Amino acid sequence: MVGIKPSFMETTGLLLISLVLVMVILSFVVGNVIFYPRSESPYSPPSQSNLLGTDDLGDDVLTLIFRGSRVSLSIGIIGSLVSTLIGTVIGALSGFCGGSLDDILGWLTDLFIVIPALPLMIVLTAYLSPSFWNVVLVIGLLWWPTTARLVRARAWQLRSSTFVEGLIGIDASKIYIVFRHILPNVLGVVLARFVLSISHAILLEAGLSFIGLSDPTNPSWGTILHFAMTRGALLQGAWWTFVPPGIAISMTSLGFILLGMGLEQRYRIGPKSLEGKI
Amino acid sequence: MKKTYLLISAGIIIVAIVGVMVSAPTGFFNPNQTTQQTQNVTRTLTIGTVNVVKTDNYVKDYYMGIFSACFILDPLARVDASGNIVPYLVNWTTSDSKVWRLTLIVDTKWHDGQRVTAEDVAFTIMYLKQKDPNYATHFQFVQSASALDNRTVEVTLSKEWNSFVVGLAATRLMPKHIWSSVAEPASYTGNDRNVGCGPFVYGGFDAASGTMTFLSNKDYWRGPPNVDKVILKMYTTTDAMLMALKKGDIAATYAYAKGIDPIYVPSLLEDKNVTMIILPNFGVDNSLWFNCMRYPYNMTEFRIAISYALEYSDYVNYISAGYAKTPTRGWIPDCWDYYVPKPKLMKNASYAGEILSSIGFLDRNGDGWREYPNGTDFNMRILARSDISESLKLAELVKRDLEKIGIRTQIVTADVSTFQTITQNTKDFDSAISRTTFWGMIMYAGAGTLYFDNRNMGWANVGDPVYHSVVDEIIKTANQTRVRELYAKLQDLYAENMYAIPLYWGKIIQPYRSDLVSGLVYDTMYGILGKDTWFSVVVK
Amino acid sequence: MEGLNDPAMRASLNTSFFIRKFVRYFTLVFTIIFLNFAMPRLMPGDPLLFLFGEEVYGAAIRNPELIQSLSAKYGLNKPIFDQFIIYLGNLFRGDLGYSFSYGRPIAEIIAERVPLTLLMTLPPTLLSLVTGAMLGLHLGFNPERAHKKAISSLLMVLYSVPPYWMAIVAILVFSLWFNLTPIGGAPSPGMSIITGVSHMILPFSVIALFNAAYVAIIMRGLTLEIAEEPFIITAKSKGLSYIKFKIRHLFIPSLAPFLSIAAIELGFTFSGALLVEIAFSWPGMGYTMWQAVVERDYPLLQATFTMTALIVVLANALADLASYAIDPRIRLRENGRN
Repeated sequence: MVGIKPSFMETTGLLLISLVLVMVILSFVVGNVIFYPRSESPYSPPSQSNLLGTDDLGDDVLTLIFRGSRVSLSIGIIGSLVSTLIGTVIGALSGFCGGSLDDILGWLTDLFIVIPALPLMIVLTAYLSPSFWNVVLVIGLLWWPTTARLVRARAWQLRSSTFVEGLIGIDASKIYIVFRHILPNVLGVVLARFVLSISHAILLEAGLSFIGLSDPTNPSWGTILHFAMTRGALLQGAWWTFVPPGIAISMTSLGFILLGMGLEQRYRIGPKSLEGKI
Repeated sequence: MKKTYLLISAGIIIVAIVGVMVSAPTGFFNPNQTTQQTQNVTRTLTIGTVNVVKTDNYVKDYYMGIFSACFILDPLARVDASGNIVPYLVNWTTSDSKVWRLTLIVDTKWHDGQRVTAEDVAFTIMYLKQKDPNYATHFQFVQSASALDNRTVEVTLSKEWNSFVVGLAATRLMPKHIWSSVAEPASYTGNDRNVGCGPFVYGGFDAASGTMTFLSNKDYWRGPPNVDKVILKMYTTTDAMLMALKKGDIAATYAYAKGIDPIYVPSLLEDKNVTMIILPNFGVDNSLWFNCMRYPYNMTEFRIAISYALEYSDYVNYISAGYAKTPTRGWIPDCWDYYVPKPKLMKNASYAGEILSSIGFLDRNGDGWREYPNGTDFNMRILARSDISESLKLAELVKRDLEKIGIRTQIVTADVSTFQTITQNTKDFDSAISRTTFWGMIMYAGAGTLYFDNRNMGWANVGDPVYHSVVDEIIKTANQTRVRELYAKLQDLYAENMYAIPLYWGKIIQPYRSDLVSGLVYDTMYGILGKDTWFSVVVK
Repeated sequence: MEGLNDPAMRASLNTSFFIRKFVRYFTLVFTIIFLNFAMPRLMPGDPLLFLFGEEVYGAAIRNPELIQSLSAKYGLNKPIFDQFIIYLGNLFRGDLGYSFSYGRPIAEIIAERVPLTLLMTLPPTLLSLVTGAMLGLHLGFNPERAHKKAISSLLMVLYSVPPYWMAIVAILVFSLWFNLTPIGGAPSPGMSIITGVSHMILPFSVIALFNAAYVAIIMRGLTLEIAEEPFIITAKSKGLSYIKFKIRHLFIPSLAPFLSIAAIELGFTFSGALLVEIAFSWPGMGYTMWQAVVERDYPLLQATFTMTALIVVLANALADLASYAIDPRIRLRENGRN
């Protein structure tokens, strides 16, 4: 593969991600003394005691952002893990086995790639009642098709290679080949997709939370935005309640996008691999 | 190099032009509106609201029902400033609370010129009972309603029921000659569907822009209203509506049965021309309702202990930006004329802890949380509405207060329909946070009984026979002095038993622009759109 | 490969290609309709609540007869399979049902909301497709130059920003601080052109910026890929003029993949517009759908979801046809399933 030295994109991405990790660590340090100092009145502007001001309950916004980093990041990572797993398995099976299984899985992938995901997620989340795991589940179950398509393409390539043809020739078990030879060889693609999906998952979670479809007792950055919007922060001009969470969301998703794209370049996955739907 | 940029900018311009052409289909922007401004002889009042009408059929649409009651229809009875029901179109008498005689006390005409008669009154009651699910409850015991002559109607109930008059205040008189032939009122689209006898004639509704107009009825029985035209502008967010108020696009805001969220007040105060009418709220803004049929919430001591654990000043301060007061133990807000003074609720965490310990809720394993007397983990759940941020934030504050006295607390959220199903049917909850409305307070036996009695909606799930007997007596009693005594008794029960803890008594905040309008009168039921406003309002 | 030059072979390939596509799209549409029927019925909560209003629901729920008659009226008491048949039949007749919460035929509501969503999404999407593609093409050719790198980085940043948050910040700055634009709402008949445009300007800019960034990133990637192919190297050596070279050898070859990606993008735009609509309180499809979820208005939820999904499917089908017309290589690849 390409050299070990990280590219500019990867470096920047990693830098942004480590910033978020610092937030997560800080949230455990300051998290236990959360909500102190509380301001005397709702929506106090930034001051010495509350660097990013306070929200409608007088809670420190900076502390909330730190705490939110845990929720946003963990939903992002777990959601992406689920979707990448599903996508990889479906893609590998589809690409390797071919035939009618490929047709069925290909049809399923096309279906989920075309159906607009966010509205479907909104409907599903509303149905499942919003909670941490339900949001993870919904993102995981609906965000796998792109991964599946990329893995399928790569698996198909490998399947046609002389090495795998040879293995099939000596009657090796299909499951064995998939796990022993196909999956390890698509790891690069999968890794890149995983990292990119984290950014998508974080954005999707933020979107769901923004319209109030999240667990309000465990507020993510999107939830902070939602509360700011529904509790009059905009008209108050209390920008400190809704600008910082947005920056946090953008920064994190940018970090993962850069790292993911850097990895894509490393493993030579161009946007063209995405085309050729149905 | 230069060429590329040129090409890009040329592309942008072309697409922008195409975009504008696509985006402006014919008639979308109507330029001839400007001519209307010149003939500014009419006195027009523009009111903004977040109560969005979805269809202008008042039997079907909840908010259309409200606005039609404000403008185009007249109610049979109305509610006065202290919450009592008083005659408007009809007066009533009854000797046994079963047979009621209603008398039409005004002589008036429908907007289409027909005379309003007792026939219309009898028709409206029976028609709504049959066709409108809302009135199926109000008039559930009505057996018959018939006109004795042009002015009198006799209504026979199947049992003694003094809350019948509540139904009269909820009822807007409908024209018999229009609706008698309509089998499905909720889907009726005839052009005469908005003919009424109220102070305004219906002027039309544009759903796309959310604009509804009403024109003054010069023949109204109280004389012509002080404004010629009222335009109702509907906004989907409070932010947008209040911005419009600040800009002077609207003269006042309106929200049925409530004012604006107090959290917005500081930003409105920045504007010198925005004035606020501030009045007490007849509903209890938010209460913590216990499921009084479930252990340990069925223990009076437990509920009382909780009432000492809460920091009431926080609710006033953070949830309602100071526009509220700490309630008394009697639950009923002090603006009601049957209010009986009771001690104010206050926090006494150590006392709360003592009570809990005395009934066996102790932290035995030293993890910082109290357990059940039998030693198993105790966890109190608070049900809150996921679609109301205020309610979630309030639950969060209550949770922090309870955790300070060692009660492990969990907030459970539910959307509106799930919330109603849980609190009213399945009763699978420990405690819940919700507000009550003025209407809810006067329904059933009044004084909030609707929300307590487990034979009715009963959020608090109260099955106490003492409570039930008081409620039953109120329903049967016609003597108002006795009813007053019973209401006092109810407040004693609320205070002694703490079926629900009132968290704060809010205020109704009604903003308007003093440079555009004055003389708004606040009506208990309909706020500034009550009938009295139209005869004192001055449009500037 | 030789088969491509044989007319008979090509014709049969074409026919099977179209049949394949048709079957795929048909099952896709059917699945969307089925999903859409099945899902709302699994949701908890009682839609009848919205016929009664909060306070009376508790009392009315004790009146089983009333509940029965209403369930019958709205078909909620029939077996699921019958409900589905009724649903399909209605859909076929263009009858999308009756909205519980609006008390109006859904077709009417949709007819009112779709144009608003198109008004908000279509112009900025078209603009962003063209500008984004040109920008991407430019950035992808000789990508090492400093200013191109800077622009590409900026595009990445724009792409990472949630559009609805961009919308909120835009409202804060342009509506609240500078008081230039309305805080929200859609243009409506009877508004002056200036007011109408003032309502559109923020949503237009937000969606255009976000989409242009996305399109440019995709196009840049495609250009980078194509620039590595051998024929480009040959073409370069032929010494064509800069613009001609770009159009003939970079833009045309990337057009087909670009279109199919753009179709997916339209799906994103539609979904994303949902949230932007909420931020701008713009009463389009997204806003309506959100309301329907909150109010558990089954039929309306069904209809808004189907419409959104069908519009996206339609866009995909169009893009498929366009790529097919542009790049014959697709026909072979499609039939051979890569």
